[in-house]
Amino acid sequence: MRSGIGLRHGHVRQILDRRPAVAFLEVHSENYMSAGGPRRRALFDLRRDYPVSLHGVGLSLGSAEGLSEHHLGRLHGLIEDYQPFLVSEHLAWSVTAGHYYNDLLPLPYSEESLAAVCRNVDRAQQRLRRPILVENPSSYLAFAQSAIPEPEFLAELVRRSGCGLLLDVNNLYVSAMNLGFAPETYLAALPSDAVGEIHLAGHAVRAVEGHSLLIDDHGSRVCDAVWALYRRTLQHIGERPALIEWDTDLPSLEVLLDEAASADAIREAERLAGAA
Amino acid sequence: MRSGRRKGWPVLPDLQNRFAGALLQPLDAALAPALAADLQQGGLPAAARLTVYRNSVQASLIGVLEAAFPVTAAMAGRENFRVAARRFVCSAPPCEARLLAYGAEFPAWLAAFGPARAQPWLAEMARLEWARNEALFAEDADPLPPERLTLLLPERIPGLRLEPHPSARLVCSDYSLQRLWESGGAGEIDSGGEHILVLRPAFEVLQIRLSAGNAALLAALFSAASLASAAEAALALEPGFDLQAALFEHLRLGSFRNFRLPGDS
Repeated sequence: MRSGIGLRHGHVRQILDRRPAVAFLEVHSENYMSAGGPRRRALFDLRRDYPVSLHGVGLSLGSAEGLSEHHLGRLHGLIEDYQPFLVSEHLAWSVTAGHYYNDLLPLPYSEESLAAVCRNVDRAQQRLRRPILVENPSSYLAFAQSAIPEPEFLAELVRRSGCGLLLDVNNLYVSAMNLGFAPETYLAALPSDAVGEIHLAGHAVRAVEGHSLLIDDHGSRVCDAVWALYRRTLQHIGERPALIEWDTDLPSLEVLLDEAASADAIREAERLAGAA
Repeated sequence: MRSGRRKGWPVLPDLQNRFAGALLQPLDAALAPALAADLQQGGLPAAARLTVYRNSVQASLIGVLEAAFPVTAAMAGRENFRVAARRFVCSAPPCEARLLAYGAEFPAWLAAFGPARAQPWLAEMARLEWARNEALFAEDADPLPPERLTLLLPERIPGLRLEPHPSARLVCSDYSLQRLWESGGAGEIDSGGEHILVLRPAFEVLQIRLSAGNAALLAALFSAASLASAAEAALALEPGFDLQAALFEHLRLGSFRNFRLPGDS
């Protein structure tokens, strides 16, 4: 298989026993920031058979107050322990005034935010001694002071900090529907060469006060519209390591493997179409 | 007022504090005019958009507590537990992103939470479940091999100080928590009183019921008392306490990781 899957606790036993042929495993970094325990041991075991990608949700690259050195230190420890082939985080914030809000909260896209994120990415890459990938968020609102379109914001971040990008195709679709922009325009403005990984996931559609709102809950199969956007992404930027994410209502491992096989099939079809 | 001079001042720190304030407070109070003015208008109202983030923050943190305290949640009833968890989340959000450490203060908070005060066993069960959580994520360590003690000269034994295994936690309660825990919280609540050693010598978290004397022995050893004075504490509580049997049992279980002798640095 050419695509990877997010490793979730409910599947660990089966993956240890069966070692399915996925290209790589991705974990949420914070879940492994313990002194010890069976979870860490299982990942050491799996690391022998799979490349591992560390995907963080708690670094808070968008925090005006800067990064937690404790958190960075722990992340550095994990990188030393597991030698991941990718390390990624989000264009979002989750920490302010010493509290952690456990969500990927939105940033206004202003010069001030850009400077803050660049400063934080610089610090992270310096401490971790490697470039990181920064993921586009799923958005439910926009700030009045956002003056820079998101792909241009990311392009400038890449230019100033030397970081890479993680393009979450589902997030792009969710944000485009919720905020009313064309995903193709976004793709065209993104610096393709900087994209080092692609995420694919499912979302929910909710009716809220007479409006349709897409919720990025990672709780279902990838929908047809997102698969179609994945095809256009492949045509536009080419092949990248692709990952199936699933967090809520975790299905059987077979369903995840089946989704990864679908991602493989699309990639193969695009490759053949490109060669023809 | 020369507003031009204020151009370029940082606004992000205030905006992030305003936004964070709206995540855990009731929405009417939260969506103050300042915050509403921060958001672009159009389509779905700003309050409904903000609610997505509020729901996600609160529900995910409540979920973290439900996962850490499953038996407490079952005993309280799922909805009651969620009410309590939401109150806790809003009054004491996490201070760091390592959510495997979030909930340490929940048992003490629950003991003082008005609606739960008539059921003090809930907070006691939460204490046991948090001890399990700590044991699960504690540093891995090989237990002390029993043969290392048998090599010691007998006269050195009384001064022995045994270092607890990093996962070892002692939970003493006025209620019979062990049976309740084994039944997933469905059993009879019995005020028999119990001492439980929580331990993860390898992969599995174990819970071992101890006698009062044995618990006093461990409590003393875990606070760095010598074996002789720990044995005294045990005997004071439990006349006829069999020190040798208790010690062998702990060595077999893996309650200790190492030892020190008087004069060791």
